[in-house]
Amino acid sequence: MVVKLYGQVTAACPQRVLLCFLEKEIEFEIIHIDLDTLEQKKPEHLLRQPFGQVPAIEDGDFKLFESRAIARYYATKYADQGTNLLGKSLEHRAIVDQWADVETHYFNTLAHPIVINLIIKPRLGEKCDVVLVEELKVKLGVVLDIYNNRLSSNRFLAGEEFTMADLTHMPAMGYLMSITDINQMVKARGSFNRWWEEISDRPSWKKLMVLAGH
Amino acid sequence: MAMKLYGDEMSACVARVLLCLHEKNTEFELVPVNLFACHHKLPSFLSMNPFGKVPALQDDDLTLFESRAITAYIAEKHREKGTNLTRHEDSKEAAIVKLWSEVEAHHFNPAISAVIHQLIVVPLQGESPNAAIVEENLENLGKILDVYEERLGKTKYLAGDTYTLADLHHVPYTYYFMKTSHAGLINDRPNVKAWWEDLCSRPAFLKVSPGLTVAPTTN
Repeated sequence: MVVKLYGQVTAACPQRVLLCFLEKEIEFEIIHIDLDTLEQKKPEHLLRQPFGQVPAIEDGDFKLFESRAIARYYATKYADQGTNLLGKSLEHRAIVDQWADVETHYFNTLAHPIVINLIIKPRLGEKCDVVLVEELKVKLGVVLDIYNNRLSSNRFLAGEEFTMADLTHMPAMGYLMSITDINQMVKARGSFNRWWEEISDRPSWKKLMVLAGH
Repeated sequence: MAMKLYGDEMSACVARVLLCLHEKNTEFELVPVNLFACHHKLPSFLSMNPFGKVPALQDDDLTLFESRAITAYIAEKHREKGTNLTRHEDSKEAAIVKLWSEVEAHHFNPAISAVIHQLIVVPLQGESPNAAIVEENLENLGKILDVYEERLGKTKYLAGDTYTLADLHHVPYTYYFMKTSHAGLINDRPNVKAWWEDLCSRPAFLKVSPGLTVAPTTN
C-alpha cells in the first residue's frame, strides 16, 4: 500500500512533501483536494486537517498533517534510501534544523503573503495589497542578503550537501521566481542565484514541475 | 564545558530554550545580551546569528540559532536524561510531536506573538498598539484555540499523553499573553485552561517564569 497525499499538486505545501518523496524515491498516490472550490474547508477534509489546509497524508492507519512534519517523518523513516535530507551527525542535523526554521520564521513569513497577493489573489479576481507587497519586498531583500552571504561560503544552506533545509524553500522559490521583480532580486544576488539554479536543476524538481503541469 | 546560551531571560525565545535546558537537567551558562542597548545587533552577536535575534547557543565548536532548532538539539543530545521531550524511540510518535510543534510554529506563534508585540514591545518603543492588528490576531488565535480545545479533549498534552517539545514551545508567549486582558481566550476553553495550568505546574516552568518580567499594557 502506498502513502496517500491529500492535496493539490500545484500548491506549495503539498509540493514540499512531493519533493521529499521524489528525493527519497518513495512511491505515493496523490488524492486531489480542489482548492479552487474550497474542498479543503469541507468536513471530510477537516477530519484529516483541522485547520482546513493541505496537505495531509494517510499511510495505512497512520495519519499526519503539516508538510514539514510529514517530510521529516519520511526522511527519517527512509533514512537509508535516496538523498540524506537530515544531516550526518547530531551537530549537522542541528544546522539543518536551524536553516529549516529560518525558512519558517523569516522566508515563508514574507514569501507567503507576496505569493498570495501577486499570484493567488489575481487568479481569484481579488485585489492585491500593493502597499503591503512593497513593504514585504524590502524586508525580503534584507533576508536574501543574509542568505546570499551564507551561500557565498557554503554550497547549500547547511553545508556542502543538499538537505531538508534547502528542499523546504523550493516550492515558494518556484512561485517567487515567476514574479519579475523578485526574479531580478534573486539574480542580483550571485550566490543565492547560484544556489537556486543548482537546486532547481535537481531531477526531483524537474519531475515535480512535470507533475504540476509545467 | 557547559553550553553557553546568549540572551536575556525576559525574551520568550530565550525562555523557550531555558525551559528545555531545565527539563533535561543540562548545565549551562546564560550569557546576558543587553536587548535594550541593541547588543544583539552588534557584529559580535551577528557572527552567531546573522538575523540579529536572541537566543544563540554555543556548545564546543557548534554555534546555533533559532530557539526551536536549539531545543531539538538539546533534547536529542541529552535524550537519555531528564524529560523525554521528543518520543524519539517511536518514529510515528516522534512525528506527532513534530506535527504539533509545526502547528505552534505556523499557526499559534504568528498570532500570539503579533498580539504580544503590539501590547508589550511597541509600547516599550514609545508607540501605541495597533488595535486592528491586535483584533485580527486575537480572532485568528481564537480559531486556533478551538482546534486545541478539541484536541486536548482527546489527549492530555498536544502530542499525546506525555509532555513534549510540542507543549513546551507554547509556554513563554502564553505566559505573557495570560498577563494581558485577553486571558479569557485560554480560560474560557476548559481543556486548554487545564492544559495551561498543568504546564505552569512543572518545576522547569517555576524556575524560568520569574525571568519573564516584561509587563503588557492593559489593552
